[in-house]
Amino acid sequence: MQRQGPVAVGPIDMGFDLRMVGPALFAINEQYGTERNVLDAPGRYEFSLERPAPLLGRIDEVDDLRPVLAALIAKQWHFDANHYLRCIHGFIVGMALSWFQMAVQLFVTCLVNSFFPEVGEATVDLLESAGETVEFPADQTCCGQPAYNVGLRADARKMAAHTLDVLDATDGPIVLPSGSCTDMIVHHIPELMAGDPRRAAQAERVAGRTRELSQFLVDDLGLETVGPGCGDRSVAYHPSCHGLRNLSLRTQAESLLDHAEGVRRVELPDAENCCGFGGLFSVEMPDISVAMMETKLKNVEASGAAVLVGGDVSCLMHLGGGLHRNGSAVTVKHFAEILAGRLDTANDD
Amino acid sequence: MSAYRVAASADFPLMEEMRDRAREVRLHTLANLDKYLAQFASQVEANGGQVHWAVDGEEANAIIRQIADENDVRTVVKSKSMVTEEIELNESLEAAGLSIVETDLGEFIVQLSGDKPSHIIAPVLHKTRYDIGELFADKLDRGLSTDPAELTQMAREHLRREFLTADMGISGCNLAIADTGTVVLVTNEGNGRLTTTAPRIHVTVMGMERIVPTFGDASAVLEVLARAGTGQRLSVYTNFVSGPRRHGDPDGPDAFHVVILDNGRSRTLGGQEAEILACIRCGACLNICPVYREVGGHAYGFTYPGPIGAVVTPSLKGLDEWHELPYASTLCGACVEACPVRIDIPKMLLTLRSRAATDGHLPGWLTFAIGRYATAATHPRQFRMLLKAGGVVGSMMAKDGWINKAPSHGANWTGARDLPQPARRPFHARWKARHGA
Repeated sequence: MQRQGPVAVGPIDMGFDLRMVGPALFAINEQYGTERNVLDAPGRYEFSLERPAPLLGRIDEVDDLRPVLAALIAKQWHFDANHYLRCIHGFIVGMALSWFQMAVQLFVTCLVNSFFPEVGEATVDLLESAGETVEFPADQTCCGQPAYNVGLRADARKMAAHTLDVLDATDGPIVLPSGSCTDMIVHHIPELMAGDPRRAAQAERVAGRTRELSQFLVDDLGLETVGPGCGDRSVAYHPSCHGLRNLSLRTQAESLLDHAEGVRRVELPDAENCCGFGGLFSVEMPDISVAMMETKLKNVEASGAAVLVGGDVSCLMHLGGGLHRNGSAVTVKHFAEILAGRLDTANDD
Repeated sequence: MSAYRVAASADFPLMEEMRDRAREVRLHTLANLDKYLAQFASQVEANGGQVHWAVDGEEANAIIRQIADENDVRTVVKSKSMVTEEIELNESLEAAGLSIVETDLGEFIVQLSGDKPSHIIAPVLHKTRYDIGELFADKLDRGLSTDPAELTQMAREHLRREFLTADMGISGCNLAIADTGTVVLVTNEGNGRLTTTAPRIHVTVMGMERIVPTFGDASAVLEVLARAGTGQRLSVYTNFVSGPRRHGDPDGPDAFHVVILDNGRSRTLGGQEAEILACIRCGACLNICPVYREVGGHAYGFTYPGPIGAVVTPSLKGLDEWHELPYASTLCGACVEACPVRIDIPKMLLTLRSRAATDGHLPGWLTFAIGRYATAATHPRQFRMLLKAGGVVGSMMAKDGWINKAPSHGANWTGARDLPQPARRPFHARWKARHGA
């Protein structure tokens, strides 16, 4: 079933677009005239005009769908709504409610959890703005990527197994604010578990539900953008390698930024060149890592952006650490923070 | 050179299909290598050539020395061959009293300066024309210039004489065609042609994996080789050598020898890094690799630098000596995107790393640290306590949210970067505070 984007259910006689969240059986995009005012209780349907992605959003906030449905059906198909309402009403509401019960499972990643919790908070903001209920499986820890990348597969398998157990006990989409951790869960954990049929099946199940944040918002929810955006800011976007090449995240975050309020995205020269973090490479081969970082930072400077934005806090930690050491005025943010308008949080809150 | 590759690919609408086809050809060949090598050998012999099988470099060098000995060879010209660098053929022949001259311009410069190549198709990428001008002035006795066209002309005149007086020409082999017994040579300078035609003996040295079944298959590989390597549609010269001079041919060598080398390839073929043998030696992965760009080819320590080298060298020569190489990568994957036969180098770097770890090549502190972290990550309460501890320790070490001097191995980070302070309230604590669980 196609998920639609954020909903705006408002006073019909003000001529707003009217789209139904959830199953989206009705999609109406017309101006309403004043001959029909079917809302008996306009207060329930209010939403803020200021928010560019307005959301009332939840069907459970609507006491009585019937007048809304009547308007929708009558306007679209010009016949007696009541006849159809009796058939469709229960169906729509039932579907919508069951849909809303499938919450999004947030796998926040060990680095966000420990170093950048504000990125996690911004992620929650965005998912809620998009109409999702967010749950946080409390026993989540780490997907095992650091151990896997260094060659310690037994340790990686232990962490992966724990992650699978935690996530497999849930339902619904699993969303991560990280391309590399998503790549680990989607591609490498199934490989690691290939020798164990039970774990392999579990890994396939979990991998099938796991999505990176921009992938979820753009590809799955079909959103052009989400969140209030930020005040006027010039940003340059660095597409982290694992997400870019292994998940084909080539346009999603850029598109969300391009349609966001106040964001002026400038091109980052040689954007697709690796920043040099590479996990433990950053401390195992620090000279090369830092040389690659300096090359990337020169390009950031050349872009003229005030903020360096990315989708993986691992890269951002490395580049941000370099910028700060160099005394640069350029700040570093995850795209979730930009979209959610969370720009002034210190990282020791 | 990456820009040239991208432009040449954009210019060729079938590039993606051709890459798939070239990959198919190479993988099929590797899966049936014994059959195609046997076919190739019998075809070469049917054409009047001789085939020699060498299990390692020492044997290959001995075979070539013997061929030289049996044919009164004193002087040798060589066209570019990475596999001969791999087995240190030049040193072996010089030790036997032969004079040997490299004829690929880059390799000629490398030889004159007593250096080693730093790129598999552009050997002197690490030198400037000023370096070369001084070198030629010193060694060639033709005066000083720093103009590339003039320098090339100097080399050309010098080498022309060498070609015409050499007893033996040694070439590499870009592709061997099994069904016709043909050796294909790809050069931009024509030195492949002269090396294999002017002297009376021609010896080709080939790695046992450099083979394709048919002419059509060779064509599929050639479509992508130059485009990926240099951005050319084809190299300037592509030579197809199918044997010695036949009766009635105006020129050609009296004898044609092919030395087929194993040197660790058959062991690699049976292992997890078998796919690396599909490499067609174009150099695209070197050009795109951000690590190679920073450190250059010499840092890789052996004949094959760059991403290809990081897999080939430990595969052929063992992890005991070369376990560091697979770690000289961020696994960014740019090489797979660039590779004309789509070799999954990151995957093989990971399998090599896994074996390096099992063989005990990882530093003790790292194995310990990861082991402890894995224990914490499989016990959620421990994990949450670890994060809390990190927040406490971090706030003691940090100033204004940043740590600029971390202890022990952390200094590898803080040498040139600041480290953000671990959060005093990690995400899970914030969630719990807001939602109660």
